[in-house]
Amino acid sequence: MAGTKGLSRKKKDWIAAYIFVAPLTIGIFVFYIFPFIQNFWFSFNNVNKFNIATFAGLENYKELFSDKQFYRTFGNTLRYVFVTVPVGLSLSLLIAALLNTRIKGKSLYRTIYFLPSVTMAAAVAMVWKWIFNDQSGILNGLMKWLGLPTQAWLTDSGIAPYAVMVVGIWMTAGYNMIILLAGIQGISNSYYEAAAIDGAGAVKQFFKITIPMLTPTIFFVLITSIISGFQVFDTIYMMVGKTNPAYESTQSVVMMFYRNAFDYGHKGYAAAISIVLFAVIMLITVIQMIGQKKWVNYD
Amino acid sequence: MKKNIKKLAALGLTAVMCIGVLAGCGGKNNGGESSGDGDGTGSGKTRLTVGIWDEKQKPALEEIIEKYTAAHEDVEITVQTTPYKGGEYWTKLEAAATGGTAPDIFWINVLHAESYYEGGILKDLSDAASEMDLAANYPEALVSAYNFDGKQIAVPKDFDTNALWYNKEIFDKAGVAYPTDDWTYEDLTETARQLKEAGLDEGVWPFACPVDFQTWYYPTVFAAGGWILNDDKTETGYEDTKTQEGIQCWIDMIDEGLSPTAASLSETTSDTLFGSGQLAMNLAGSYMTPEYLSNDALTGKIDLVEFPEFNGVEPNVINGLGYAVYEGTKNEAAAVEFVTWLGGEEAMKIQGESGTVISARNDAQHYFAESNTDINLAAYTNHADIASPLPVCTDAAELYDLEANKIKLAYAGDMTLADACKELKEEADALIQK
Amino acid sequence: MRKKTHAKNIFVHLALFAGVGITVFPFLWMILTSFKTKGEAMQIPPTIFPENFVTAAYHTVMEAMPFAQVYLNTIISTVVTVAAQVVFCTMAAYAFARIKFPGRNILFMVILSVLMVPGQIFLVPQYLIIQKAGLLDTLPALFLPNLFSAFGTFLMRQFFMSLPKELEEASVLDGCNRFQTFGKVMLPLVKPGIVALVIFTAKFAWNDFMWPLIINTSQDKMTLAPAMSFMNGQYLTNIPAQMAGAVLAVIPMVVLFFVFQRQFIEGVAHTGVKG
Repeated sequence: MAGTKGLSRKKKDWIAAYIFVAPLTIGIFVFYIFPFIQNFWFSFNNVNKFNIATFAGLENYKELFSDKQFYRTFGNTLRYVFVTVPVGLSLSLLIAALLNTRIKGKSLYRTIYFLPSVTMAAAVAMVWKWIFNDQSGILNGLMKWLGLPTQAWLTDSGIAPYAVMVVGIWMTAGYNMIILLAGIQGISNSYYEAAAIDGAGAVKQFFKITIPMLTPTIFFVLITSIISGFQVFDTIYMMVGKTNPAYESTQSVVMMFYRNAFDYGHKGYAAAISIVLFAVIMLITVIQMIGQKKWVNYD
Repeated sequence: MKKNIKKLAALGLTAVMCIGVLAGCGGKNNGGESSGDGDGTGSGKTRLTVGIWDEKQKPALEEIIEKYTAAHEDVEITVQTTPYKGGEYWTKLEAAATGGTAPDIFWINVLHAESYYEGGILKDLSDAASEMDLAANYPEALVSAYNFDGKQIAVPKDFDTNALWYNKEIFDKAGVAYPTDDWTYEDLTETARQLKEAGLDEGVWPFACPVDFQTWYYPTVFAAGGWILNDDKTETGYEDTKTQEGIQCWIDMIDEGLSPTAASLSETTSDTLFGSGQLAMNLAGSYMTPEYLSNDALTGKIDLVEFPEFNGVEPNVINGLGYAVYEGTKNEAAAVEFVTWLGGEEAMKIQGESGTVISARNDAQHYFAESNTDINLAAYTNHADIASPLPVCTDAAELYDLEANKIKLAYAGDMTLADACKELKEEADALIQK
Repeated sequence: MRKKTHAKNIFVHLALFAGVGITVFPFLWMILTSFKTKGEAMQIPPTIFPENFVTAAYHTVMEAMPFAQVYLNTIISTVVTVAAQVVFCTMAAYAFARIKFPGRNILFMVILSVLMVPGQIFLVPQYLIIQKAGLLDTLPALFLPNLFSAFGTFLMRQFFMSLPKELEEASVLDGCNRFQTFGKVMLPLVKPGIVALVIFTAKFAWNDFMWPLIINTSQDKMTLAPAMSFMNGQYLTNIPAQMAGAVLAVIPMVVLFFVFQRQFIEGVAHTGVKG
């Protein structure tokens, strides 16, 4: 830092900042931003399977906005996000809180809750497909045993979207819990000690101390859950096939993207789908970022 | 304490990155050899790569390669397998072709042939084709499927047709006579009724009718005299009453309770049902043979007969893979020579004898049937010459999806088949005319 | 007082246990199925316990690929990815969180946008980059693009932002420059965040399927997840083998998690982080 002695502290700071940010930024630009820009360009072209692009202006977007299927998949995806995010977040928060108490076997519980998120998606989909199976699934077996009517969990257009959400939440609650737990660990004990002295019980402490102090982490989990909710693909792709009557009501935007990009070879159209998706997610994220000032407590 | 951890971490990180880089460097040398851009002359041998997607066929292919390289010592051939299941084979092939490093020779099917031809990544094999006299040695349907604008872009490798499998144990239990090769569709439904009346175990069905075009309804559509695509691919034939006849016959079986519902079958496929002994009869393509034979729950209990006659015609749809040569290959001569050999008598014989697929070459088709004399595999090849080719166009994938979307509504009873087909024709025509 | 804690503990245990049931059951079923024969695994109605415990599926998995090599590749790829991300992401995150430099917000949003598009759009472009670098079908190809993570940067930024500003001011008064502040003061305090990042990155790198499959071809350059898929035929899945593969793949993750969480999460809670 010898050569910079003459610079103001502010400028030194800036140089330091750029050095800190450099490796990551360069890497992301090379491997991600450049493809992102190429994808954006593709959305204004007709692109075949071998990346040969013929300029098409706004054709893809025009077609997209008059495509009934697109609106349907978007509706499905919105519904998916609006249910899985709050439910998932609440569950993860609850589990994290429970796991933060002084009970025995915490490590074991934590590991168990973490298991689903670390298992291969293909295996997870297979197992849940069997659980939900109309004729021979365990769930319907349980329903029969309880004297309740069996349901077509994965083939009924009304029920299947929710069955799929269950799997989604099951898979992700675990690591959201980890992140929240990590956040909770970072809250200084002194707050809790002071509250205990003031006579506050566990539940009150949770709502008055834990949650407010946890808001940066909650914010993170919220944003990432929304982003990954909008991008749901794997589980639905593997559990609901094309001849499934519930296909239309469960298909997500990314599934439509995938089909157009890889099955049909309409990469330009697919790119347009991805850009619209991006715009929506970005909008929601920006709104969140602005809104965070109201409820997120950074020290 | 924290300082030490930090130092340790930094050391560990450096060590791991070194390992990673070193391993990578070591790997790079190997990688250069097995990626598709064989330089050949450097080390004296010409290197070829063959891209396939079925591990089961690898042993046969390796035997073929062994025989070839024994006679051509200057060539070294490696096989690259990429699974097909999620479409990865095609994604990878397309990425590699875009970057110029696709395998020298690779498997191709009719679904992708046209778009790959238009994408310019397939070598014109017309010279080799005439040398091999494809027209005389191969079924016409297969040769023309890989011929565009007069250019032959793939050598037919194998084909598959469909047949009716049955579970002898279920038949014995119900006291019903086994199916035979000269069955008709009426015999099929009648026997299904008999099985049902005789009383089957819980969860066991006489037959299954999934929304499956290749194995179920296209064969009967063509047998009824219907059509899906016209010759210049400008119109679809869904509204033709004969076409609808070929689809309705299967819906009727569901309505009569002889098959699980289409919704149920979309969850548990007919193959899974048959494989676990829950289905008395099932239609299946020849590619299912290795799967059924390796299923220990079915050993000794199954056999097959020809696809039941429909409308007086022996229905079937033929679909075949081909060997294509990559347009950007750096070893054109060697690749074409090997492909020529692959389409020759000996290679086709080895492939057929493995019992995994039916060799496309006329004089090699019988090996498949002979590979297992315990069961009636000839049911697949007996009438292969009159089978109809799978209808394809550039937008085949999208067309099939549209079709499935609408037809399944008719199967579910949400719409009549006539209405579903009317809407389907509108959408399908719009698609292929784009 | 004692009774109250006891009752509370029982309640907590009950609640957790209920959740455990639904969490663990699919996983248990997965393990049990890995010990069934191919035919039995397809049985309808499905059985829970195998009739006979057979290890055939595990043999299939281990014979279908150069197992030890594939396992090692997965370990190396994961470790390098995790290590690199910890370094690159925490560095960048600190700057984003704590240093007001020109273009900070815009740059951050640009980086964040990477998360908002379907991941598949990066497949082919990254493939072409790796191919031009001559690194196709190599070990580094497996991890190179994954060394840089928008998610990781975002995560660490949140953790940095939740630390009190006074810490840095104190550090500056002590005469530290930015780098020393980062290394000596800030970094140790975000250990929980780093743990979360390690766990998340490890899980992603370990189970990554599509990228290794596309970028590498030789079996001995594969990682676990794609290597498993080679066992499946075009039409039918070898169910017990798939389950066996998933079990084999998940064990190291579980072990890693178990060890790590003890090391750091509980460690931090007891050192009284903020004085």
